[in-house]
Amino acid sequence: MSALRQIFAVVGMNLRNLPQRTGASLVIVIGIAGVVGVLVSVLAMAVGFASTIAGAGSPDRALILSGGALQEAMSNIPGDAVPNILEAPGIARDAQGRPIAAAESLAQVQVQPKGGGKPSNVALRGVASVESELRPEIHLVAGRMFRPGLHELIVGRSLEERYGLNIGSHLQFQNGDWAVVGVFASSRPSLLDSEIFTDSQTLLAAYQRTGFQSITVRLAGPGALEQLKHALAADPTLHVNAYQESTYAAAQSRVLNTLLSWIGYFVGGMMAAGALFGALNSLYASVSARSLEIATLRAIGFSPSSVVVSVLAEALALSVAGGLLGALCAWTLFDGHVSSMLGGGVQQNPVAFTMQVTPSLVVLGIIWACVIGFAGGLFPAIRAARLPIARALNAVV
Amino acid sequence: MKFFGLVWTGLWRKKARTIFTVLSIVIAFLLFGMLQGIDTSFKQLVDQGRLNVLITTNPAGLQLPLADLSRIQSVHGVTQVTYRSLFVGDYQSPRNIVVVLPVDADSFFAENSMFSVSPAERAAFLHTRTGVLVAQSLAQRLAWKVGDQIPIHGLLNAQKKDGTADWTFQIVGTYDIPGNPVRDQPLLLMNYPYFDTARASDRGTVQLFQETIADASQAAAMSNAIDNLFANSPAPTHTDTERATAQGQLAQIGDLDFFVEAIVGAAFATLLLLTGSTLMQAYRERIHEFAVMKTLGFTDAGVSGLVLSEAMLLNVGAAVVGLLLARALLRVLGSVTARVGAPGLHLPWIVFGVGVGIAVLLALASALPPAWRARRLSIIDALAVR
Repeated sequence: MSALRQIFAVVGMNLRNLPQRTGASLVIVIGIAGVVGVLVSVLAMAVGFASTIAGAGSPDRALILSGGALQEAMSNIPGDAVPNILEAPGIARDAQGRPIAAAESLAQVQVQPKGGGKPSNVALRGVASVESELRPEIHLVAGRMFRPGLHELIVGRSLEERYGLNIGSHLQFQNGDWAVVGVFASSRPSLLDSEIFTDSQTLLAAYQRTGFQSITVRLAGPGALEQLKHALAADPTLHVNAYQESTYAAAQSRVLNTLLSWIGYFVGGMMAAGALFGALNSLYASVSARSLEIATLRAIGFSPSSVVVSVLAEALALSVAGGLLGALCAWTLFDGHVSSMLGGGVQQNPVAFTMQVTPSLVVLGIIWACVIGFAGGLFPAIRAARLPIARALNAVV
Repeated sequence: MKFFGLVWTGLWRKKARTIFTVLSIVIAFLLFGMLQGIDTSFKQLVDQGRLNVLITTNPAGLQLPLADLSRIQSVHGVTQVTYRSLFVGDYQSPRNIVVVLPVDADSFFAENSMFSVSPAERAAFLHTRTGVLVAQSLAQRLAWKVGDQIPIHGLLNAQKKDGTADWTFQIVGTYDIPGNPVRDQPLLLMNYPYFDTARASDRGTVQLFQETIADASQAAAMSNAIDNLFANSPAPTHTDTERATAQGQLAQIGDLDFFVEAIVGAAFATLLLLTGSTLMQAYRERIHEFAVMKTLGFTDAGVSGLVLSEAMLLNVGAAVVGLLLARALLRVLGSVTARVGAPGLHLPWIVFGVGVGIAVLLALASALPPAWRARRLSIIDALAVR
């Protein structure tokens, strides 16, 4: 009999016998499902958070901040410097020759969450317009635009859900009553969906400010960023720096993203160790329950390797089942679940994001499951192969 | 106690199995201890927040004019007001992040009596313009001594008039906040007047005002009274109790509770299944043994008691090991988090107690089926199996 056929025969027999060892098998399946479920869920948060922060950034745009500022909230660009900055080369221009750019200011307003509880700080951004060549990914999805000069707001879609800020609702801040007149959304998950927009000049007037926090510009093409950086650095009257928007956005989420992944791997790793011990226990038990069967197989000429493979196959089948179950739980419970976290850094506004159980996370989970299954099956498999045939057959009751 | 030997031997009947079971229980409780420890450390931070102390900030996230001080002081029921700013910097390398609080020394210590500073060092702080008081643990870690001149490179809110962000301070003493979760924060107290004259922008402003009020039950009314003072000014205020402010900050971190509970729940459910099946397996192997014991005169309750005690010893023993490990690990982790300004982490004894309680429940739940069977075991049937 060829070695391969032996292996197939023993593996098939062993897998068909699995239902007789339901209790012990369940320990492996559920133990590994727990590991994979937790790992995939926490990493789904990290993925969702990172893509939301990164979603606000585009490689085609640059963000200009005042010198030394690491974040928009820390930056301050005097209003009279703006025309100078917009003269710089590298900034794309529209059909009329005007720079595609917007100087924006930021403030914070406190908003009461829907279910009650402590008010949260939400970023209020003074923008030029929403439907613009600058950020084509953002669209008004309900209501109408704010009118300049009036205390009117449009809110990001995720705020509508989280804080019940609908068209027609009102917010009180900065000595005024502000009406929500529209809802906007980005075509991909974005940090901006957790912000409130109003007219740039209206915001400056309400907060009695003359400066802006940032200038966002569309880059003219490849190499434009370097051009822009050089031009800004060369002008001694300006103290500003330009960053590629996508790079800036990625840097903003890096710390929190690393932290989340670290938590996922750490907690997942601990649980994996626990599941490994559980798997070892169940598989040793399985081998000892099958000792008569294994000894008989060996006595009639099956090789030790076919026995080893059969135990490993049992371990892997159970752990893959556990991995799939865990990933399925994570997917049904959390995929699309809206969570919120501080937007990292100093500005500290909660950012709503959607947890994403991606196929690559599921694959990662299954790989973990297989590693645990393999490690848990190896020693019991070796014991099975070394089983003294005569003694095992003698122990027959 | 005289059966301890029997219980112990029963437990080690199959060495490998017991070791694996113990290890997985240890890990589950290690996880429980660490996650709950982190959770409670943050919650204790909220509990430290006082109810008779109000915090006034600018809801727009900006600074407040120091000129507001006299108007807040005049509010009836406010007994004391202090104010402070804040900047972030590092010492020698970005690894050593420090938070510098420019404070008004007299009113700051009057209102924050938990800062314990020797009278001599406090006087030195008052009289040294560039003087700073540093946390004891920070001074130890960075090997700072009283009298040292230390350069702090500012990272945030720290621009100076001279165009740099490099500050030089003289250490005039150390402080400690005994028993407080934030005692190990890398905090420097400096004199506000020096900060305000040296900084590049926002001169004459503060980050927050802190008011002590005579009657904590009036906190809400007092908060409104203060906010009404500035309702129509360019910088409106938001006032809340110290505790509510801390709570608000914690709530914004995210659904910490939910995740801790979900993970711990998943770990314990798996554990219950594992120990349950292990104990049941051990019981099946020993049916014959139990029958013999009953023949020798052990009562039904005695035999099931043995099964229960084994489970109890296994679970509680392993749980205590896991919780002690979590305590040790959190202490290490806490010294790292304190270094970056987060509260120090620790495992309070209450969490330890809850953990042991859960271990007892787990032992009961997993040992109940085999214990019940051991009790009902009929000698004749069991011996007839062979």
